[in-house]
Amino acid sequence: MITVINRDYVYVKVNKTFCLNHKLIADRIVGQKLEDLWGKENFISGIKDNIDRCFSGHMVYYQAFFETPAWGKRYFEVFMKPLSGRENEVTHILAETYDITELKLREQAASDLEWEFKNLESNLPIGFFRSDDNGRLLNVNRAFLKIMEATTESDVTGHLLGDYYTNKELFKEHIDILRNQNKAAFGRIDMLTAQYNKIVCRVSAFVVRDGSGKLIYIDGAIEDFTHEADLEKKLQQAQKMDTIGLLAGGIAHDFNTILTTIYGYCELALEGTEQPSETYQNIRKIVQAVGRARSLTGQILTFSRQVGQERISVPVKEIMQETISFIRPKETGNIVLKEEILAPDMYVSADPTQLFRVFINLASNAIQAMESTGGILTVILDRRSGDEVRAQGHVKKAADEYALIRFSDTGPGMDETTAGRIFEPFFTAGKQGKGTGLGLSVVYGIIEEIDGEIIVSTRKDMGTTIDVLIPSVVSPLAGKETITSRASVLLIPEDDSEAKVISLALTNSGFAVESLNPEEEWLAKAGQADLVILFDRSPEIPSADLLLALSRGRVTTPVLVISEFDVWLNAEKELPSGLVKANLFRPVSLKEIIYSIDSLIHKSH
Amino acid sequence: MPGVLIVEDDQALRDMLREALEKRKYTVITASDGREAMAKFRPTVIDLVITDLLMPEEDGLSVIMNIKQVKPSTKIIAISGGGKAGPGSYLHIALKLGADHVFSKPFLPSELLRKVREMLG
Repeated sequence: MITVINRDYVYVKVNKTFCLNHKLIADRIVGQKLEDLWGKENFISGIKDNIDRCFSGHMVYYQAFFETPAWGKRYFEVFMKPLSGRENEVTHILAETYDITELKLREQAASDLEWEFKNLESNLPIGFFRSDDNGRLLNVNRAFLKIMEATTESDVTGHLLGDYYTNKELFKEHIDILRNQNKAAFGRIDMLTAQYNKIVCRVSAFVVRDGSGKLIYIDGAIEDFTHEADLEKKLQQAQKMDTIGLLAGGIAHDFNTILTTIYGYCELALEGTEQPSETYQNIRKIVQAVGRARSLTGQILTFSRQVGQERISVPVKEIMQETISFIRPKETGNIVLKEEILAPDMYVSADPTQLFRVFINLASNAIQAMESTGGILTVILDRRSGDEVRAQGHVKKAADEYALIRFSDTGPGMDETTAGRIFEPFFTAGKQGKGTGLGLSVVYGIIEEIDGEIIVSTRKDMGTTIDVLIPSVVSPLAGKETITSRASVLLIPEDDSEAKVISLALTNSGFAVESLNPEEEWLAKAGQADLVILFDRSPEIPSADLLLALSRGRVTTPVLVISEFDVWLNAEKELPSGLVKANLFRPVSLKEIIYSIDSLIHKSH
Repeated sequence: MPGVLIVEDDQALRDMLREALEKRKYTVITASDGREAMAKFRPTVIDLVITDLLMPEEDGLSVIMNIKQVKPSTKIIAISGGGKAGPGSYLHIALKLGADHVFSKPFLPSELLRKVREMLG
């Protein structure tokens, strides 16, 4: 729109566009004051000063919002040029006005978008990069720097993206793929940050070509997938264990039937054979081998979680203390045992005998690892909140609080591959011939079943720390367990760690438990109890003498003997008949003990 | 002589148990599953039933229930495969249903025989 204005701020000439925009014919505008057309406010605030400036001889350019009755609020761009008369003084001005409302709106939108993008870009953990056609970095955003642990853009630009790849050949492949396909996404790339930390990333990129089709840039995004990759690996591992467990568990089941048959024929054969003969000894050896097979199938069933634990509220501190007193004799001169009970009143829902087994296993492994070098084994009991543990990505479940039991040794540690496999059944990190390699898989199975987690931190030559996390439960309220509903049990002896754990387990299961050493009054007490539990520990069989004493003293209380399976043959032969008795072979679980007790007592009533 | 009914689907184990019991002069009848067991069960002959808990066709728990219905005074020994085979535990249920004792495989047949002697006199 073009207009000519005089010193009185009156329109002298207007063009057609101007008229159309104001919806007035020229006659109605020419001779009108600007302030009448635009409104006094608009005139004073936006127009007058600019006109005055132009009249003083300057070219003026400005942008302004004007609100008019005809159009509402619109944005204008105005060019003003002074027009001189004959004497070279400015008599009129020429004003060219452009309605740039649409343009301004687009500019605003673009600026908003740019701002939003910048905001998104800096808040999302997605690294953006632009590189040349060889993958040499030209521009990166802040997130990229963060992922690569670099400080400034200049630390990074000039490098090939491939410099961060662990496998440089892979980078070359990726560049080739991009050149051919123009865009691609690559997952699971192992990379090393500027601080030499290992990460796993996902890169998506596309190529930018110029007018002639020449590749000028590669633009892309990079995301840190380390956490997800880790979780995936853990999931795969857990699934593998489950599959192995299911398979092994099924086989173990059938094996137990076969083992029973072998046992039976061995016994039949032994009956018909002279004691000191070679045949007798050979058959005994078969029975012993069957015993080992039985132990193996038992472990398989445990780690494949096909057995089902009898769970009660267990005070973890007590189990830890029994573990330590059990382990202490095994401390050799150069190994030191340290204990830190930071949360003495943690309770978990588990089978105390199984927990004991887990702790003994982990502590023994640590001691074994330090056998030749010596060192320190630190055992810690503490608490961790659910949020804390979830934040570290450790637990899959949702408990509020966890008991933390930590076994930390200063032994030789393990490399990453070994550390990832130690819970695999039959995988042995140690020398061949040391154990069947099932120990840790059983530990894994037991902990998994009570919704716990095991976390291994280790580095070659830097020792190993194994953390066991188990959801905590509220301690049982005093008096909640009605002792009178269940039987009275006498344990002999009392100063044995295993006996103490079992005593605790039975007490918390509602039994009235007493432990004593077989001294003065024990026969009388045995007669009063509903059941007596005896412990044999190979190669000693104290139960043999005790059973004889019971028989001679005419005590008819049923007896449960917990023993090592390979000594039973000897013991059996000398026993008087008439004793109501059952044998349980290690490792025993609370469930087995309770059943034995229930059926022994049930039988005799 | 007291009569024993053995219900076990594994043939080798069944034969071994029969041999062990017959050697001690018990009258032995065998069955390889629950249905055969109920068909062969004669209340006047059988004083004790030894049954596996997990078998195809009809499982051991049904055997226990059925025997107890027909002749409640029958003694029952249940044998389990050593694993948990479903929700809850078979051992516990077997006892609740009327089994007098439970053995987990692999058990020592001599222990079983001693139990049998205890139960039958």
